[in-house]
Amino acid sequence: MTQRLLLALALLVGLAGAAHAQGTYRIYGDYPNASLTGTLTETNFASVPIPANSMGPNGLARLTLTTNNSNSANTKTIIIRMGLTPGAIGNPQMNISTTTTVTAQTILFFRNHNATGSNGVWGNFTPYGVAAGAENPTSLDTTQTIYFNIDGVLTNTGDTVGLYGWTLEIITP
Amino acid sequence: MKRALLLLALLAGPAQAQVIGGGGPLAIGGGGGASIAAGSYWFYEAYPNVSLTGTQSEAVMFDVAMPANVLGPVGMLRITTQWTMTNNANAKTPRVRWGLTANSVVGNSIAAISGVASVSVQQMQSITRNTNATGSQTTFNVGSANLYGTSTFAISAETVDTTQATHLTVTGLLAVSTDTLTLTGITVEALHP
Repeated sequence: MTQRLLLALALLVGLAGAAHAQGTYRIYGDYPNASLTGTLTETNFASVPIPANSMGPNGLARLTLTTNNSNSANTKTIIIRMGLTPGAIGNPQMNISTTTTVTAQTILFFRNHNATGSNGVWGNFTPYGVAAGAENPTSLDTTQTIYFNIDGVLTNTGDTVGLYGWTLEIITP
Repeated sequence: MKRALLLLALLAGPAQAQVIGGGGPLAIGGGGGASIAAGSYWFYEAYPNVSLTGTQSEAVMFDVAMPANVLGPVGMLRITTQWTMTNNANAKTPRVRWGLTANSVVGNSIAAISGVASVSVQQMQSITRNTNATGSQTTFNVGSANLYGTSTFAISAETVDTTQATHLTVTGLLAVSTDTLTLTGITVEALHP
């Protein structure tokens, strides 16, 4: 059975974007090293797709990202939105608001709830530990392509906020 | 289409937990061996339970060899280590270094917590990314236990050639030689999109 699973996984590598299959683990990543300055308009750094049907009813999408910002008293924010459309659009699921630090790193967990169209996001900037807030309930249809839209926004045009890199893992039991 | 049908046939069978691989270093999706292909997940897990005592010099405690091309240009390396130590006020520094040489105490420091004291256990994780190049990396917040959060430290930069086989060398450093620092477990995950 083990050999059969390994062969199946090797075959899945050649089926990028194909329909959901049990027992798969998918990896995506990029290092755009993009930054924003000189505007107060929310700007998209990366739109990370979760391929249609890649999660199944109990799948998990785990997005790890590393960001940067200028060190000042002004608020600089990375906003992670989710939806069916790429770009600076979609419902916000996590904000990384910074002032007098220079880098940040976090994980966003997106889980299906025993259904492909019922899900939730652990939207706390601190991915492990306790939190007062509940999971963000979502009803995104994962039989379609869903996007994590990673945006930046400033409150002072003289500041900078940026995205170093992201990694997406999709675990489909 | 034939491949999809073969896949379905392979996955058919009695329902059970998905158990992948047979232990030890292994790559899923890109094959194991001396070089790792794109679209793979290479992992290593060990419970060395090795202790350091009797010296105030940084000393090698464990070494993990990683194959060539384990990351690719936008890959991510995630290392988790678990430690125990003498619970007193003296500083202990658990560290992971990365480079081309095995058992080296001068490689790039990509995971470390300087001056751990007055605790008995420690677990730490690090994330290092290739920066759209196989020979250029960045690591978040080296030197701190806080891997996820904000930091006043800039990311550290490394220049390890990941087209070659590399080594993760786990070291320890004691401020007082009569103390003990023990590496209990280590998990290495190399994601090569």
